[in-house]
Amino acid sequence: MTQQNYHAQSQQQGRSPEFDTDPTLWMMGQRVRIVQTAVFGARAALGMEGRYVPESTKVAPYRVEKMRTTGDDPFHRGADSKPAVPSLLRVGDFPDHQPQPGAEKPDTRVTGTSDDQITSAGGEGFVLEDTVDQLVTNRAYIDALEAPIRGSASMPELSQEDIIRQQVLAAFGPQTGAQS
Amino acid sequence: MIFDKLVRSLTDQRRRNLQGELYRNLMRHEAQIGGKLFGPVERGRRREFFCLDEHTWVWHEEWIDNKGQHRVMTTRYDVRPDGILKSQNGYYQAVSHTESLRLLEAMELYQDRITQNIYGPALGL
Repeated sequence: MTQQNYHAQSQQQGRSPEFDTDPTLWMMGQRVRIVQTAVFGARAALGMEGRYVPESTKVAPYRVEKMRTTGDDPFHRGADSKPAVPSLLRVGDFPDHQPQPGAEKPDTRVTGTSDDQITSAGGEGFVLEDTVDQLVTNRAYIDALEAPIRGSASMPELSQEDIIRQQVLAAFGPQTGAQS
Repeated sequence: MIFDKLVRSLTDQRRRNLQGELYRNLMRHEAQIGGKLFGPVERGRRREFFCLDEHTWVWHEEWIDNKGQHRVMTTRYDVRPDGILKSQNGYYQAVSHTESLRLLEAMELYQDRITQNIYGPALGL
């Protein structure tokens, strides 16, 4: 949804005009809407909600009741406003599901031969690529995931056991997979 | 006239760049919060779990293995109207009902946490 369309929808729904003139708030509202839609879509996919509703028809049920003050950085609000996140979920909360070699890709929207890879960037510490930058920009995540990851030419051979263990860990596998 | 168009174009471009950077910053922050939902992350390991778009969730993990090698693993969950698919290493597979329920639990917790820590105070949620 473009910002212009959002403004029109906003007027119809009576949201605060200040909200739409602040690009930070507008963007935050967009993220809230996307996550809401994503969670709703997952519930629908699992049969917990009614019909799956395309995101374009969803409406975020938020209103602005309190404006941020000038210069208030949402990312640095101070420790007192960010309570510690309890460990409510464990990696081991998810069962082991190993990839099935040769399984057909039912997704015609995503093409390519490899969209996620285990790779090595040498032993000189992390060579971190920004995951979000890599994945988000113009939905470049498809290209980013399908393209050979930097340094993969020198990737050492991994045993099948090693690969599976890490796959299990990354895919919410049992606690036993957490050791690398 | 041409000058005005040029200035407007540059201004629009700058605005788009700023919005894009802001959007990425929001997602970075979400990804950090999402990575903490599953318990403490050991030193030398980086874990991120986040909502990429309306139907895609990403689990990203980087670590140094016991041979000193830098490892990266990205798992993508693709939510379809009729189920959830998991993509790893180029292979797609349907996610079991049990795993889907636990993934949904993580999604809902993620939504709660980002609302509590990022969006709630600003948007009055």
